Amino acid sequence: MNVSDHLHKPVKTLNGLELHYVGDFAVIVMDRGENRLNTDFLDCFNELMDDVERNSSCKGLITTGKGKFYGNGLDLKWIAGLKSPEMFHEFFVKISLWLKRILVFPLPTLAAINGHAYAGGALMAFAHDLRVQNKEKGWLCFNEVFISRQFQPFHYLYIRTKIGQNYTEAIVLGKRYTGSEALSNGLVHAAPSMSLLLSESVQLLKSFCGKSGYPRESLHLMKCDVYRDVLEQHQRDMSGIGREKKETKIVANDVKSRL
Amino acid sequence: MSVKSSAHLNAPVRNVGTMTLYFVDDIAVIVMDNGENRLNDTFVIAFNELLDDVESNSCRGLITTSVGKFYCNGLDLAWMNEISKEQTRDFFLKFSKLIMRLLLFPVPSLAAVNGHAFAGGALLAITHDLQVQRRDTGWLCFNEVFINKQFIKFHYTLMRTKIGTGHSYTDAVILGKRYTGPEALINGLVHAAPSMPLLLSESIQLLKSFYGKSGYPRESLQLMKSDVYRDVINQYQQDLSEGHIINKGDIIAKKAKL
Repeated sequence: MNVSDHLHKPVKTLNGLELHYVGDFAVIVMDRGENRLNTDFLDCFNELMDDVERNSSCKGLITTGKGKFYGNGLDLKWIAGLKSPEMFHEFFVKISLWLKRILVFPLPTLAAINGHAYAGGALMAFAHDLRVQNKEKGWLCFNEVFISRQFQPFHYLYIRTKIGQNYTEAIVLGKRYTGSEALSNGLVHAAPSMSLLLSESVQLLKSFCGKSGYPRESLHLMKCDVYRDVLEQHQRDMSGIGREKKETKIVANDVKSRL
Repeated sequence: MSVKSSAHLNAPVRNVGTMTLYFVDDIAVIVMDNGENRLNDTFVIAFNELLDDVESNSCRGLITTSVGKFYCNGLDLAWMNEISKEQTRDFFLKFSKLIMRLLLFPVPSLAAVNGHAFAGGALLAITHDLQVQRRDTGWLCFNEVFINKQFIKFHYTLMRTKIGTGHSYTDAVILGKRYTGPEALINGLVHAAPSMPLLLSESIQLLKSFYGKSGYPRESLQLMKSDVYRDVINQYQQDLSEGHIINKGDIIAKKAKL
């Protein structure tokens, strides 16, 4: 059962990323297998976000996946093929800017986690204001600790604000959460069955928006205020990102061990 | 017509305008009775005077509450329309100082939220050590995002500490979620959500359950609060010296005049 079974035809499709509307809410459906993060994914996603922003009657954004995965993290195979350190750096800058964009988006955002959300996929889900997770299947997990990866400093800061007291379990110990576990640990707002994932997500978003929705500028500024420490750290992180030799080596080794 | 909470308050000890100070056993109770109890100079002066009385008394706790539909509905924007820029700036300085005074108050404090607590009123409530909210009506809500307002930096630090991190803080502040008593209880914003007739008595019970027989040594409590809220204090001082507080006053005043 897929979320998009309940949706009408997409308004736009870009390389497996679909943009739909359910009433006043935009829904981006990721239909690219594991929905791994690479330049093409990000470029297409950003374009759809541009469309959503330009639509002045839109009141919120839901993102979801199709099938087994919400997002399984970085596209390590593709990264291993990057030709130069410059391309490497550029890519990591792009991901960071994209995460930041979601974090302070001028509309309320909701990640409807249909399946596995691992590593970068979990980071993506947590950049949203709200999370709803399928209680029947799939894990939410920051498994970086198991694959010898670390986060960027700004990641820790926004995760910490969002997760609160279970920050240790989720990040240090890389605990994996089913929908029900994520709900009882305060990581997600609801854990419906798969067939109700989209409708409950829409309901939840509506319950926050009320009749008129949020004034966009005000919401954006409030997010910038609340995440001020994150944004300041993000600025500092941008100069060094993807340049560390350590990072390149770890990713390369990881790819080797998986292939 | 105002509905008074049915906890049996003794004869009032002091009236300052529409604010009244009572004592119930060893607990001071400040009752606001001015409709929406909007925050303005009159409010701040009266509140501070009654806090002085509480401090100079050997009581062991403080409850603040109101009667009727509102606990506190935020800033008195209509009044701000009438006053000068200087007066507005002055008000914001005084109000910020009051928030800090309440935050670090030398006896444990409890906001018995009898009705709506919006915006500045929600901030006032959350500044107390404990919150109890009426179950059947009234919302607790930081609705600033919906009315194009932002907080001063030290407010965010305060709210983050009090509401905690995790989705309750972001739901409440970024998304301006409004909470009924039971919702506030589930989301960890308040400690209890009794029915209205029990609001005051349960507040008294709750406060007593914290300080036991002898109460807190005042200086110790105040130092502990200063330690725990160190980052709020630091941010407040920075906001003062960098002019953020009067800047906020200017912004509100400008907006209020539209």
